[in-house]
Amino acid sequence: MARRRTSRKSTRGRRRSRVRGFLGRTFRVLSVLLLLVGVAAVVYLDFDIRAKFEGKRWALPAHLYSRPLELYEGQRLNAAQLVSELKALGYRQVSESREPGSYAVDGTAIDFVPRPFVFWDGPQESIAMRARFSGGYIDSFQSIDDAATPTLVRLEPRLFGSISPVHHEDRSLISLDDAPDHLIDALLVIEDRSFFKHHGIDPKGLLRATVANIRALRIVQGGSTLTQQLVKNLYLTADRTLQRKLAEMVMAVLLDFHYDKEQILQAYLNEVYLGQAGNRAIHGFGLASYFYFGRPLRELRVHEVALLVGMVRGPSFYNPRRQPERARERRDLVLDDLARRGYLSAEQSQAAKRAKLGVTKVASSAATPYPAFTDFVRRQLLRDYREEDLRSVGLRIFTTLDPFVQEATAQALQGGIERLESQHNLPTGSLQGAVIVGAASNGELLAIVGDRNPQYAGFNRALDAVRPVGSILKPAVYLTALERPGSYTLATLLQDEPLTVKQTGSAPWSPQNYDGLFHGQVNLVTSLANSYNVATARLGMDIGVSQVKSTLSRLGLRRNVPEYPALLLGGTGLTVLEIAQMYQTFANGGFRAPMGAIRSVLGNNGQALARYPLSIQQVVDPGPVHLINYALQQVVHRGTARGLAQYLPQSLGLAGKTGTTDGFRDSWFAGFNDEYVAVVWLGRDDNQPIDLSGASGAMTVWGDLMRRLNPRPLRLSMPPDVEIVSVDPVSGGLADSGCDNAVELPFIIGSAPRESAPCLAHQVVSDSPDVKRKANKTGNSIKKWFEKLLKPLNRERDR
Amino acid sequence: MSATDTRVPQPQGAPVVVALAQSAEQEAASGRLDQAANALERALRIEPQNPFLWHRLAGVRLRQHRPQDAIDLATRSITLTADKALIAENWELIAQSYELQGDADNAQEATRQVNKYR
Repeated sequence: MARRRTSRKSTRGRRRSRVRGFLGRTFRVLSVLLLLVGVAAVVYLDFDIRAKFEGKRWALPAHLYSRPLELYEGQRLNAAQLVSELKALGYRQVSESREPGSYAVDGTAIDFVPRPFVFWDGPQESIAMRARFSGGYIDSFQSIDDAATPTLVRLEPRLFGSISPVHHEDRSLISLDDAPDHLIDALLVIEDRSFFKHHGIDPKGLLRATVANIRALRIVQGGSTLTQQLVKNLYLTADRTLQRKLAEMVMAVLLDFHYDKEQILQAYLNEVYLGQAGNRAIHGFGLASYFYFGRPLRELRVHEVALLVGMVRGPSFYNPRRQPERARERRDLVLDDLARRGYLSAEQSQAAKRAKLGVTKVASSAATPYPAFTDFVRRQLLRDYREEDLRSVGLRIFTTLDPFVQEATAQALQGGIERLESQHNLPTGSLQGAVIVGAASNGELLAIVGDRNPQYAGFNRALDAVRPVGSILKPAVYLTALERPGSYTLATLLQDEPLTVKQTGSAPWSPQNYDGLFHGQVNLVTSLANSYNVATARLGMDIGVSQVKSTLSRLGLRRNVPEYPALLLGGTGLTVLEIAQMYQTFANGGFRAPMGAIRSVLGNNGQALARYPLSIQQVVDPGPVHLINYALQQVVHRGTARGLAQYLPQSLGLAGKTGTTDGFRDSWFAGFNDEYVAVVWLGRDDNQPIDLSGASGAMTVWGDLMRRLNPRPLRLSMPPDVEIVSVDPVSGGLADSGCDNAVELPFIIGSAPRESAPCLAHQVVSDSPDVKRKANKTGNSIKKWFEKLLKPLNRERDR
Repeated sequence: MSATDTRVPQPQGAPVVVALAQSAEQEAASGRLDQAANALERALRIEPQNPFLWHRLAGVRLRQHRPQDAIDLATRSITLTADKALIAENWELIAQSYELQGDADNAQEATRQVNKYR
């Protein structure tokens, strides 16, 4: 038995050991396999998380600066403007200004000490200065401490945004240095006390959180390190499975292995989820600061910082707009913790707890107060710089933004749209608009607004809304004519009489005037001033659509516009920016300067990446430009834009042009003095009628804007090949001495009519904008007689 | 192209503009052409219609071997002034720029203009 038993046992034992061996082998194989899978998984996760991290490697964001305010004796600037600039730069008002970054107001004088600042062309020293004001000018400008008075002083430019040029995301990126006091302290105290000690995960913290959660029978602590939270934010998955959690822990360890704590912390500051604006997530403290407080992060005070840090745990649960009480409790808890850990004194913490939440009523979605301008800067960077240069860290981008002009533009558009909606009974919120203001002489963009809400960072209508331009394009037709002084002058008579142009492949084109009337024989300057469509169409057909198109391209238009007759009356879609470029060339005497928004880009080491030198190109001769600018002044003086007189004195001699499109869908105004060129568009996104003409809509916004800018008068300098000649507007001939309604017009020398006409003062004068007639009944014989007198006799016909 | 028979146009304008123009002269004299251009562009933002500034910027551009820019800037200066000496100086710059571009015909025509205004 025993043997049998033994043998049975041994058989069983053998069998068992065989099984055990099999299991063992299987186990070993499985272990190796598992290990391999595990290693593969880690390698994969490592690759994945590094790619993700590198892909969102903001490094140091690029900082965007406005133009610096230049101060010198004789500058047109008032005390309030200087104070507003100093305040915007964060200067403190004191009773006696001796420290950089402070100012004092003493009657009509302002003392201030600029902060030292390194510009692209060298440093600005910090010298205490006194500016005295009188009549809207700096009357005297002296150094206070007997130091040699510099002729001019630049205040440091305003930092108005931070972007990552190569990422097409709207973020307000910050570097660790940008973080306000206590932001990092508060984050570490609340979210991850051992951040600088652990290796990506914190087992002790996890245990502590688990115990606390079990005790409370609910989740009261997260236990995730900042590194884990960063991983979670980088993937943005709602998946909360154990597997996912494990993967996150592995990735956190890997991140900690590859990158230093500062890099991780900076990425966290820019990536953490802090709220929701519609379907757009608010990531990063920089953007959240604008979203909740409407101010840049570095300006936040400790109670505001505490509120944001408190929200990390649950941005919708602690949403200060929807759950103010809950958010306040959470904020106070953060403040208590900061005090308990010695980062704040008890008094500081108490004072901070008494402060209101301070969130703005309306969320600002933009990462900068000037989103449309920032948008343009980003596009120009990507267009004009090498991408690898833009990836380098800590770029400083000096832009051409003029905050005064930008603010004025924003107010004029926003206020104007609201006023027009109420005056004209338009549905509230239906009207949209965009404005661009540039410097006439060098094409520098000073202000861009792309939405009725200037803070809105979405569709940028100033750059991207391609809308029919209407009569705002007409100056290109007239300029093309005036460049042929042998054929056309400002006195040339045009026929504003019915016209039908046959077109192959489409219906005949029969342009109409806006008043539904025909005005008979009108001279060229009057036709432009009153924006007569039919006379313009006839003129354009005479010189040829292709010629007008080529003028447009000389004026800076790159878009390939269709070459059909309706182009002559602006029946093509263009953007506000394109129109601004066109009028810049007029405003600068025929010299086109490409519109741009960047003066200089400095790398981390202070070296300029590439400079944008001022560059102009003569594209129109001075004579014809002078004539077209004179005509554009007449538009304002007595034509369709004479209503501007409600906003600005006629004596300024501003030049401009209205534009209205079919069915009153678009309202345009473009105009300039020798300093500013500004273009306003109003319309609806759904392209429905707005019942506003160029004059009743866009022109009023333009007038309000220019009034705010206090423009200098426009004085056209007369080129040597231009002379002034007195002519009779009715006949177009030279005026004789007895002619009452003779007008003086500029002519290119040699092009003025040579023969005088009998004065026709008693006749109906078509030169007056108020006179509208059905078809001109002037006898054909008289007309022919006049035409014989007129130069040129033979107009070359291009068609 | 001798400089002896020409009056070098003196900076004109507001004190601040003259100061910037003088600083541009110094920078240019030391070969710091970018800095010189910077100072002139700064001055032009203050007085965009100042023909002297456009003229000086044209001179800097020529020294930077940007003849086309020099031609356009000098032409701009001409359109803003009635000062014959300054016009002649501008034509002189234009003539040199065309020469640099290898455009003998235009250089010759520009030189004719120099003589007309001198």
